[in-house]
Amino acid sequence: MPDAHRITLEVLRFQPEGPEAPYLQSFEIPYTDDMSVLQGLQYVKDAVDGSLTFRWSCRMAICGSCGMMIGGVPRLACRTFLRDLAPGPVRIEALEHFPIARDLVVDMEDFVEKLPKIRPWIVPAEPRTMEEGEHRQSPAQLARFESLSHCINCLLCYAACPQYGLDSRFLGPGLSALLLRYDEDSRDAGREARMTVARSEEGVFGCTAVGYCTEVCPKHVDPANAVNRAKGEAAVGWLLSLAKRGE
Amino acid sequence: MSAPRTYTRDMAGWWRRGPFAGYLAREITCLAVGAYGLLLLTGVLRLADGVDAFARWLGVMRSTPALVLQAVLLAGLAWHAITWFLILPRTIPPVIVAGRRVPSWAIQAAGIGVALAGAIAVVVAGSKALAP
Amino acid sequence: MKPSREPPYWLLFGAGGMLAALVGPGLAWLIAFGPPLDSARVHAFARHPLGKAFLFAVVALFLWHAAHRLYHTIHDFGWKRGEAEWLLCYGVAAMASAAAALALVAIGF
Repeated sequence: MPDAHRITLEVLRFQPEGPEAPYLQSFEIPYTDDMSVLQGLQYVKDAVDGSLTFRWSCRMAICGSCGMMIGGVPRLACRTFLRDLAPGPVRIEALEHFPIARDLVVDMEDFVEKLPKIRPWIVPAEPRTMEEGEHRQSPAQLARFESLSHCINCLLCYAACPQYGLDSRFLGPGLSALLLRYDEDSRDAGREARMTVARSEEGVFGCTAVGYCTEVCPKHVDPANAVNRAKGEAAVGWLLSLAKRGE
Repeated sequence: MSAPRTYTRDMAGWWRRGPFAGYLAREITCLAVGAYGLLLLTGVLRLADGVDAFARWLGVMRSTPALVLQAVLLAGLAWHAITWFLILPRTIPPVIVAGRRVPSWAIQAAGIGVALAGAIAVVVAGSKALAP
Repeated sequence: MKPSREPPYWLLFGAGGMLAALVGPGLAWLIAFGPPLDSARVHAFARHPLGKAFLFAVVALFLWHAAHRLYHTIHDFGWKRGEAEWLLCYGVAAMASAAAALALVAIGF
């Protein structure tokens, strides 16, 4: 590697068939100024230790696969650069608040299982035929949910959220943002069903507005805002239900 | 075939790590708000005992130990006010003015400005109305 | 899915937090470090309906705000919370509100 510097990666390793607890392993590698942490891990896997296990795909911060703790902060490995972490060492661990499956791979079954519960699809008010044409949506209507639609399901916000870490029954930031993305879409009429999830005991009231989820989100979704807006909607819904009961 | 074992990390001491010390400092201000509410309650109870009883309460409030307590609570209340408006951009829907979204720093600055104005208003109005 | 019982407490927490942010520091300064207050004038303030409303609001809402935040913060520290903790936190707020209400009525008009 021409013009190479050297840096040490301290990786938290874990194998189900291996030692009881995770352990740190150091890899001293060459790197160039254009290399990401992901490329550093790929160098280790290719040239040093083929057993090192981690998820990755697009290398360009759109697939959401390579989320991990880098220097104690939830980050995408493909978008974190070794030159910014020099002289190191760079501590790399699997995403917090998820069980470790192997090395840097977490068990995300909890998230996957919760996903359909929030109905992440357009629920039309009534069935629509092709002859009726497309939905019309103004720029202002789009603006209400567009940033919420940028979520790449990278789970960095879950790694950031201490409430999810303390109780994984909590719906969490990403799913709350996705829930609001559909509620706020003018084409959708599924608010009531999603509200049942949002206002449940495992719903949005588990949030205490730490705000770290929004800080780590690579797509500027602002999940903290989504969760707290959902709290407001649930509270208004509760007030209206009181009024209805009074009638 | 059973699923391979996974490893679940411990959450103990999480609030000592990373950015969470600031969150903790904010949440702890609730003790100042609650304590001050209880302090005001003692004043309200004294008021029910009559003007003279309340005059004695006001005197106690100006004793040195009470002043120290109130200074601590004042610091806590001020930190509550500041951190309340620092988190406000995360807790309210987007504010659109003249077609543009108002940025977070502007909401925070406006909020803290309103808090400052509120504090001054209470002191000025309270002094005018309630002090000779 | 069981609905959370949080909404009313969260609303009280929000109202209390906003009120505390706007008038808390001012009140604390006024009573401790401002010009000495005239007890007769304060008593007259407490006899006025608006004065009663203000005094009730600051006692009750400050306590409901603190109760909600404290209940959640002890959970953050890893305290295994149960019904006892819930009743203690919100119970104190409820009792303080009741005591304030009774006292403000007793002050008369």
